[in-house]
This record gives sequence, C-alpha cells and structure tokens, in this order.
Amino acid sequence: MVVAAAESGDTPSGGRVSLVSVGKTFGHGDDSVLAVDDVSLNINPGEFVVLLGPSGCGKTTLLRMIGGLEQATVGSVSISAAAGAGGGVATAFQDPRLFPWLNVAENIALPLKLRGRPASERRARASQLCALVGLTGFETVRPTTLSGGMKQRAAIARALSVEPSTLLLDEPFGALDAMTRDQMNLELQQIWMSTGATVVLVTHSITEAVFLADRIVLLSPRPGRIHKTYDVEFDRPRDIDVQTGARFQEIVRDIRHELNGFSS
Amino acid sequence: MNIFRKLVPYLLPAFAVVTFFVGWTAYVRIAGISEFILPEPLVIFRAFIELLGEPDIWGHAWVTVYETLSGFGIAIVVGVSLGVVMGKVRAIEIALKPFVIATQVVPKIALVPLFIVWFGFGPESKIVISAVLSFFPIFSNTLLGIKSIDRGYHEVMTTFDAGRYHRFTMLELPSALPNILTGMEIGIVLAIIGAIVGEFIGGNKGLGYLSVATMQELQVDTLFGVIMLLAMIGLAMYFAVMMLRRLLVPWHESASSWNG
Repeated sequence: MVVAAAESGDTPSGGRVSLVSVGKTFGHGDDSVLAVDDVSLNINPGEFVVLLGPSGCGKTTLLRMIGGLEQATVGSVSISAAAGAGGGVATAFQDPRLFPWLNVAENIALPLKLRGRPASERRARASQLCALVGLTGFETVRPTTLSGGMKQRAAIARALSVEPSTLLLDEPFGALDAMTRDQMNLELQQIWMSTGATVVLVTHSITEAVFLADRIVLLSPRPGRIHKTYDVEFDRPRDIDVQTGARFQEIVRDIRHELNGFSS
Repeated sequence: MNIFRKLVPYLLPAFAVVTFFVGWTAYVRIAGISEFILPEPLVIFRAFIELLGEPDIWGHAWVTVYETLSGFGIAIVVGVSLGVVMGKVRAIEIALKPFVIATQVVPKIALVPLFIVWFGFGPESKIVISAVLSFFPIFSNTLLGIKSIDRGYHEVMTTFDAGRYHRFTMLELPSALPNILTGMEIGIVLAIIGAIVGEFIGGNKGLGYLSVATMQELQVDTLFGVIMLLAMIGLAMYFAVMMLRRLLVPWHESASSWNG
C-alpha cells in the first residue's frame, strides 16, 4: 500500500483523552447492571492504546463513552485536541455501516457533506482517502459489492475524512479472516503513523493488541475495571515478523495467562 | 432444438392465452350464451377498437386518469409526511394511533356516498376518494420504513454530528424509500379503484361512469371494451411506479429482483 502519496499536508496532531473514575450502569433498580467500574485512564496525544479483555467486559461501552455514544453514569470523560487540530473524535464500528444508497466515495465523504463542505473538496478528499486505504479505483462502486476487508477500509476512510484528532476503532477487523486481518493491521499502523492521530482500538485478539499497541489496557470481566496495563515498546513501523520474536511471545503469554485467570 | 428451448418460456404462455380465447369462443357458441351476457372475444375486440375511435372516450379516460393521479399525489404527500412524523416522534404516534386504527378498520368504500355529498358530483369527490383509499398503504409503509432504520446508521450520523435536516435527507428518507415505494405500488391500484367507484355513484364523466352507462344500455361488448381500457391504464400506472423503484433505489435488492 502506498501511503506517502495520499498524505495530506496539514497533519493533525492527536487528541488527549482523559477518563476520571468513569463508571457505567445500564438499567435501573434491581435490573441494573454495572458494566464499567472506576476506570481512570490518560491517553497521550498520538498514542495507540488498545483496550483488551474478555467478551462482555465493557470495553466497547468504554469506547462508546469516549465517542459520546453513551454517557458515563459517574466520573468524567474529556478529550482535548491541540489548537488547529482537525475534527475531534471519529469512530469506526465493528460492522462497516456504510450506506448502501451511496457509492464508496460518497460514503467516505459523508461526514464532510454533513459539515457543508463543497462537492469539489469532498471528491478530492475521497480519492485521497481511497488511495490511503487502498481503495483507488473503487470510488464509484456500491459498498454491497465490496469484500468484508474493503468495506472496513472504506469505513475507516470515512472516519478519517474529518481528520480526527482521535480515532476510535471498535473491533474493526473482528469479522475478517486471519490473513486479511494481518494485512489490515499493517495498514492501520501506516495510517496511524501518517496521520498522527490518537487511536483507541478495542479488540479481543491478543496478537493484534500486542502488534499494534503502544499501550495495552487489560480489562477484567464485568464489571470492567482496569486489570493491568502493558507498555509495548517495539520499534515503528513494526512488520509482521515482530510477532515471532521472544519478547512479543512473552507479552502474549502473560496476557493469555491473565485472561485464563478470569475464567477459572 | 436449442432455439426451441429458448422460445419455450414465450411459447408456453402464448399457447395458454390462445387456448383460453378459443375455449371462451367455443363455450359461447356451443352453449348458446346470449351476446348481452358474454360476447365472444372477437366481438369484444371489435367493440374495443370502435370505442377507441369514438371522440369522447379520450375525454372520459382523461378525467379518470386526472382524478386518480391527483388523489394518488395527495395520498403520497399526506401519507409520507404523516408516516415520517409519526415514525420520528413517539408522542405523536401514540396520540394518533386511535385515528390510524379507525381509518384502517372502517371500510372506506362505505364513505364514498358521504364524500359525494360533501364534495359534489365533480372530480373533487373522486379525487378525495382516491386519496383516502391509497393513503393508508403509503402511510403505513413509510412509518414502517422510518421505524426500521438500522440503529447503527443513526449512530454513524450521531458520531459525525449530523443535524436534523441531514439526518432526514441523508439517512431516513433514502433508507425508507424502498418501503415508501412498496406503499405506492399498492396505493396506485387503490387510487384507480377509488376514482372508478366514485364515478359509479355520481357524475357524468370518466370511465367508471361510462361503464355504468353502457351496462344500463346493455352494451356488454362496449362494457368489456371500457374494462380493457381501464386495465391498460391501470397497468401503465402500476408499471410507471415499478420503474420509479429502479430509478430511485437501484441499490436496493427489490430493484434487482424484479426482472420485467
């Protein structure tokens, strides 16, 4: 994938995300479920943070609170971006959620249309982003004809269209096969490095987490609390071979051990 | 052999149609059915051609088409608007529910004499009847379309700070359009029925009036001719709405599954 050609001149800097004693309860009274409990986390500008945990641990809920799709029951969530930084927070979901009545370029540029940007700018930005995510030549295609991986690329490109200072990714590659997933992880790393945005990724794949993250936040099962954090300090850009290294395996083994501890 | 196999899908229905008309003719002749009850197909065809040659037939046809399309147009505007509003505002949906159920269960044809009393013998009463009949399917399908929009799509609009206007034009309307078109397909047929039934009861114009008049003059062959003309108008209108689906929602499965 060619990244350099698609880079925009004004690279936005990343947003700073801070969570202070955040908790989330669903429902009321006896039926209420505590999904997230007392999570405090500071994410630095430009950092790549992965939220990892067993299913149902509230990691998606946590991400949705950062993205403003859920309100925290207690605590505070704040995101600040440096002056001149782009369009705040953007989210790409587990399912691509592309609008079937729009073609790929129109889907990617939808957020710009919502902000009233002129058609010429939207077209230019869409083809730029298509190049960035490897969808050049598919601009006028309807999303229903794309493969799963290509749909996710388009969804990520849509999120990037607003030049977000913070990019939230909710298991975007969860439905993809292993080979496509490796490829997408490499491309995501490239995109992140070229945009300088802060990325928060939710996943339940340990290797994906270790491969991509600057920092892994391991959450315990319901209610979700921060169980342990890992700093992952491999050089960037990482290639797929880093996964076979001893240190990589060591971190994976340790996380797996912690996760097994939850279920026993 | 190969060519014959390709022609089978066309030959078979053609054969069935020819057999039907031959059987009809044979039945009328052998059983000695009166021409005032059931004329032979060829007699009807001749009457139909004669009917098309008459100068005032096109005036009658135009009146029926005008009433149907006006009523249908009103039904689209009111049905879609009300469907959208009720689909979006829960309080209005709950408040108006009794009225919706009432309009659904009352046999609307029974209201026809009332509309004639209110709106007179002119085209206005027929337009109202057309609109009332075709309103419900358009309204209910619009409501269904608006309410069944994927929650995930709404979240996409939320994350990108879409305003109410954009949420409507960029998500709700296009997403509900396949349902609205389904309502329109049912509605156009009911709109024609509304206009014809209205003409049965009052007035002296339109193909509905003409069919009652020919019946009273025992011109059964001409009556069949009027019915054929009505069928053709109905077919053309239904076909037009179907084409609208291909034009407006080419992305939807319903547009491709129809191989016409």
